[in-house]
Amino acid sequence: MVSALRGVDIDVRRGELLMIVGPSGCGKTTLISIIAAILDQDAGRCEVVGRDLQRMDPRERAHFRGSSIGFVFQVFNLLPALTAIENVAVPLLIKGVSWKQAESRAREVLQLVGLGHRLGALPAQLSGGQQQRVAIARALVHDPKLIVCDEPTSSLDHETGHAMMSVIRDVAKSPGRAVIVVTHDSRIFEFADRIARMDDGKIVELMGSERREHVQ
Amino acid sequence: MLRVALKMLIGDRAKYVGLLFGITFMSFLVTFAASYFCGFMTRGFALISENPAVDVWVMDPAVNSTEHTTNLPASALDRVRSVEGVRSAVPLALAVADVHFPNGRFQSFQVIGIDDATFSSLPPLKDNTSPAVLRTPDAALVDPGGTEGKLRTPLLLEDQWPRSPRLDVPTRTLAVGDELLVNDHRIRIAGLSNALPRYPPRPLLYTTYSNALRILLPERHRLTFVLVATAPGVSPSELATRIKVQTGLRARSAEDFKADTVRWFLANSEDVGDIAAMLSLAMSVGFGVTGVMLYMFTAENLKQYAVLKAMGATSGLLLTMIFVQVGLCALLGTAFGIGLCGLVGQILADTAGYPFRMMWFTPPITGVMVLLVSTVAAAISARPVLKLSPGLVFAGR
Repeated sequence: MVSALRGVDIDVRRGELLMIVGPSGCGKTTLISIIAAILDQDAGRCEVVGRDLQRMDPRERAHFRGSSIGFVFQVFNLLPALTAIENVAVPLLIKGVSWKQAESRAREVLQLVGLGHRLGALPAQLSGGQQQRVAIARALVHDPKLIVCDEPTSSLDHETGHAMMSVIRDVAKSPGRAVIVVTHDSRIFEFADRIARMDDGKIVELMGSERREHVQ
Repeated sequence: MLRVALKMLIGDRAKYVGLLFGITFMSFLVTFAASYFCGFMTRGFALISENPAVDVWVMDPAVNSTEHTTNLPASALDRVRSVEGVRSAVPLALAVADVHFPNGRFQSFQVIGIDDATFSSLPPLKDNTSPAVLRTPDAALVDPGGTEGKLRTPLLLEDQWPRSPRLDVPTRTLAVGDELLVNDHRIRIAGLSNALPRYPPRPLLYTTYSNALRILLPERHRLTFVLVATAPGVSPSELATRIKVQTGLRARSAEDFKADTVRWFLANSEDVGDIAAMLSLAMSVGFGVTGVMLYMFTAENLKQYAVLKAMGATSGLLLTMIFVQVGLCALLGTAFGIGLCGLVGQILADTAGYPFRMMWFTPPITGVMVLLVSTVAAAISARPVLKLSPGLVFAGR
């Protein structure tokens, strides 16, 4: 049996932006999958916003993800047939919020990320940076306690990636919410409050903002 | 989320159109096969439909249809007439005979011997011919009975009644005054009728009951049916029961006899198997096209479903979305298919005499079949979505 994670012990605090870095295959994706209530760990304990994930059945996990976690993916993963505002409204619609209310809230959040003028645009009509802003808005729209970002800048050029991280830091990060970013992109390490470096399924180093330069 | 499901479906235009086409095609084929079958069956009981004034059909107890008959003794007519509630009862003789044309060609006809006095059972006649022409000696009326080109006689007089058959001579359609031979008895065409097409199709020869007795091969009994009209205040089914009890003969109301004839065809006609094969083929093709298109649609959108799952959509919600997508296609496809079938079928029926009849129950049958096929296709294509791990959305997966 191969162990993807071994002896990982980490707390993520409200209001902080934690980056998980490390080489491919080191277990970053497995770790955020567990934190995001997508994957079940074989051993150990994972508690998110006070809830023990292992005690939840698949339905509870789905509801938990829908209410407490926001996702930003590497390739944006917007639904191509939906407009920007509709894409952003999806997490609320999943929760059973009415279309009208969901749309109204989505409009607010899109304005927050600077896309108030592209509400009716389809993903194909948006630039990569704009698509990622829509993805961030989608992660925020239901006001989750945790936002998980998987390689959010790897599909973007340096400038856009930087702008994106600024949006995440300025809009997504809040006193009551934690943001976890999995990344390879050393150019954005400066946005992290803490950085966890992983290797071979373990967190080999956990650095505060004062040590970021060392990792770079 | 149902709106999202429909947008996802319509947004993928090529697959949406493909899925719609598959279901429309299946719906068209199923409706067409069913309507074709109904057209056949309607023609199967054309003799009954052609006699709307007949309330009760009386026959030998072994007879179950107009297609396969055996005869009654002549006394049956009087026995039926003696039953209370019978307003009138007339004889009808049915037989199949080979009719020889003037050039030596022969053709199987259904000979229908109708009541000499009332001419009841006579179909509408062409060219304003009076039914009274049947009172002239050897007179008969002919009808194509749903066939094409079977009523051809030699064009030239020298090709008629030769010593040896002349089969490849120029011909024309039978006309009033032409002569034919039935069992070596001469008959003269007194008119052409406009009877309902028959199933199986075959030319018809209407003549009087007495003339039918003369031209048909001698048999002990020649009376096939007694056609009864009920007295006022008596229902056909009530009278049928009364006749059955009092005479020991089989008596059926017209509607019941139509149903009997359909059942007989279902049990005995080989064409029913062909229609069933056509229906199965339609469903298989529809299932194949719908299943493949739907599977491709969900397979290609798997990542989108994974995103929804990661964002908290339960399997039940995703399943509902898939069924809504299929439901919309099934609804539209069924409507398009039935509409198209009605249009094409009616054009074929009007222009080529095609046996097409869309009954009230055909669209619901099509709807049920489409629903069945779509549900199975949706269930198969939903499987990967249900088994999908939302972790697929992460870059490392």
